[in-house]
Amino acid sequence: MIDWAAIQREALDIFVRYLQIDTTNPPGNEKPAARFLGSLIEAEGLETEYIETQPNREVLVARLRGDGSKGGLMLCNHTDVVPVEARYWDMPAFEGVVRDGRVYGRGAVDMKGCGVMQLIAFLLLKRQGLPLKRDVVFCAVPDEEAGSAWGMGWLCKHRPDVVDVEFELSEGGMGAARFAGKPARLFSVATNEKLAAGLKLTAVGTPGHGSRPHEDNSAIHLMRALLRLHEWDRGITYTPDTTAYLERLADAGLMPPASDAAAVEAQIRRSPALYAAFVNTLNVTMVNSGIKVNVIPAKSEAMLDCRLLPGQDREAWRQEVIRRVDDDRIEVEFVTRNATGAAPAADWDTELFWTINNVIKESMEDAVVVPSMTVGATDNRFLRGRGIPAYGFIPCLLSPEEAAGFHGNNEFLTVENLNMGCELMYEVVRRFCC
Amino acid sequence: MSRIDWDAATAEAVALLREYLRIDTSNPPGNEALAVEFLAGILSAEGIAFEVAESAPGRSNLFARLGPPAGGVCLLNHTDVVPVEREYWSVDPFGGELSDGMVWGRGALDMKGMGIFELMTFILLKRQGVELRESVTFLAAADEEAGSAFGVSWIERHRPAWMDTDLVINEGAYGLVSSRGPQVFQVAPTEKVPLWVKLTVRGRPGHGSVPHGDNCAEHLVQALERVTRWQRELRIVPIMRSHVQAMHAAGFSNVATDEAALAEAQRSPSLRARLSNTVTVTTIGTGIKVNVIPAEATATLDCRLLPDADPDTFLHELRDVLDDERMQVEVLNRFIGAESPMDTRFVQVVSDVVAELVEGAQIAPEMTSGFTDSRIYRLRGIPAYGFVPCLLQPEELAGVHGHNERISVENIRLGLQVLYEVVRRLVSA
Ligand SMILES: [Zn+2]
Ligand SMILES: [Zn+2]
Repeated sequence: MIDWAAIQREALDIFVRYLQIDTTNPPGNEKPAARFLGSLIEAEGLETEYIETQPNREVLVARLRGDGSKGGLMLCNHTDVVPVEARYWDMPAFEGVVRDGRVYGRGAVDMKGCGVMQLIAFLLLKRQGLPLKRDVVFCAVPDEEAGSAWGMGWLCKHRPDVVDVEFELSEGGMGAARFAGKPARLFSVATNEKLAAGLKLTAVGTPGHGSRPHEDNSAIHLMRALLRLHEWDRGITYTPDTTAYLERLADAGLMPPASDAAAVEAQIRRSPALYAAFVNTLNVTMVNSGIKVNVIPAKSEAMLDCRLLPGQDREAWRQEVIRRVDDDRIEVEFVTRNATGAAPAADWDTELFWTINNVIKESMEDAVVVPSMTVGATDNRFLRGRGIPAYGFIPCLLSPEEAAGFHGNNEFLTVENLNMGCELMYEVVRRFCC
Repeated sequence: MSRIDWDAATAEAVALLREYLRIDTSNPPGNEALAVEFLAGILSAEGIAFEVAESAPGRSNLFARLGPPAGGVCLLNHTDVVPVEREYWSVDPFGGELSDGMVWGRGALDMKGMGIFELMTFILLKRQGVELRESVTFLAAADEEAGSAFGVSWIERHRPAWMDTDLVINEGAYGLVSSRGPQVFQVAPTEKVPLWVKLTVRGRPGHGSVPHGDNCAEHLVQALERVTRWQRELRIVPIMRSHVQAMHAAGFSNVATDEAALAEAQRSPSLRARLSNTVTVTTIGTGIKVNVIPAEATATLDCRLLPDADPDTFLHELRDVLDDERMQVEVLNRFIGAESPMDTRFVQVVSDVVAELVEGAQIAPEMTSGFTDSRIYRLRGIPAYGFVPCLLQPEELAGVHGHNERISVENIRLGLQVLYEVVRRLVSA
């Protein structure tokens, strides 16, 4: 018997301490995080391996051996977090503040919380001493938030032995407590994701004195270009995957039936998160123009976070943006030059998917479990690229407010979700591997 | 009194300017103490007493006086320069290079070149033993390019005696030469009034992969677009009417009437800037990471009002144009316009000297479209004039706050000679 109350206290304690480790990327400095998680595994008498990819950046790998009758399952989580705009936070972002049943801190949902759930599942399997058919590999990687060149990308290139598994679980899909404005228990298991194709716009003009306005102000060129992009409606694109997704939601009563195309479209457009799955998104995230209030800037730059639907071509997208910008004073280039190409979607109809489905349905009768597409990018793409069914699965029911914490302010996870996540994760892994 | 050897004086001025331009006083941060040290060394060598006052660490101002202990003529200059965008320069902006008959570097025109004319004038008056009926002061001030808080505004509060003068000669108007021949020395008794505004708009942060419609960068872009489409009234203030007529009389333009000037302003940004309140978007900033929707975006607007415009009315109109309640409008500075008279002995002397030294040259009143430290004196009722006695081609003028700033050796000679003669006549017995 597992003493879940004790496990919950343990998980909360680990979670709080983990959130206190500042792994803001850039620069990352994920080594202390790897060492922290590793020490908890070592305390169970297990071996760990630390793989340095850059100074102060490490991958942590630990393994529970199976009997070899089935392929391995990797539990993969990233240890880095995105930067914080501290002035918009109501509490310190790296102290693991517990307040009103919530645990606040950068990484609470993305993805240190899930890292703790995976760790607890891993530790419990060991403590329970259950015989395993599959190897279970716990893998904590750095640098996911900045492109993974020093994390999963590095690992696949330099240590393919570590990623030699049959299945993988990481972030990218999760449970939602509300959907389309209504209460729901909708668990998404991400089998596919969009392709990052971020663009940098550089406008060049003529410098000058602010007291003498002229027409060749790079800030104005850039602003007009951003406005043209903002006004560009790229419509709604259905793919076989997303069509299947909508059908499942309709069956569960969460979407209008496909026959009512107008209602479906209206509902998609009402929800930004849903809409992002049906369009190549373009988000102005950075603008940098000018050095001084009285100097007309010669050069102005903007960064656009762009995410393409699966199957789209990055270069074709860049050309389309150039046509929309329609200004040869503006250069349009990729933020990351040699990004990984789109990975194929993972097969959803697998033993792992059905295990997840069954575990959740047994625990919550009215839950809906659907394969889905992640609108962001995750490390799963590297494993899918190797033909491994890699699923995004955070086994929590996040409220809209919790979901807003991904790269947002006052990021938190409720204690209730942490507890639910630990139990569901353990049960999925146990059932799948034993 | 021996005659001045202008070849030697010019060579000396060129050498001093080259050395001065090598001192990087980009503001921010300024580091004008380095410039003051340089100027102090020169004055010491001439046996001229001076005072130095530090307004902030690394930032200081220098003052010296010849002749009677109060009043007289102040030769005012600022020691700081605006930052450079190095990638656009074909020479080292702080190299003091001399080539093609030009001295190159940030500040050559704005205004270390004029600073050297003033310094040399000051020194020559001493060397020549000119008997001074009136006082001459040399004041090198910091921080002009960032609003003067550590320069003349600081001096006003902490060293008021340095501002004891009856007349100020400063930057604010250059002479112009056209390839067709006409030459004009401009004298500026007033300037446009800066109003620097910061716009801040907040939105909802979030993950870059999900556009959610409340992105502050997009709010800002939309509001700025409305600002750039804003049509403002064109209006001819009296000093500009005199300017237009004088430039016509000097053969510099074929625009003589108000009507023609208004028409020309549609084509010429520089004339338009002096016939209307202007708004320039100078900075836009937001974002921490390409995959994070930022929470706050800011922009600055460099607005320049006609000397008689009411800033509050202007701000009210700006808010209407921005048309976004989420937008915070913050005034970064607030100046007041003032004008010095043109019917003064100074203007008469300039006119005489120019006519004697430069054949066929005329003078024209001008309104400075930028702002200078003169505003602080004018508000105290002290006549202050923008008068840099060089004759510049349009492409040389572009170097002011632009790239490849430079001044010709020929202009150094001209500026030195004209300024010296003007000051000598004003102050000698
Ligand atoms: Zn993540
Ligand atoms: Zn200046």
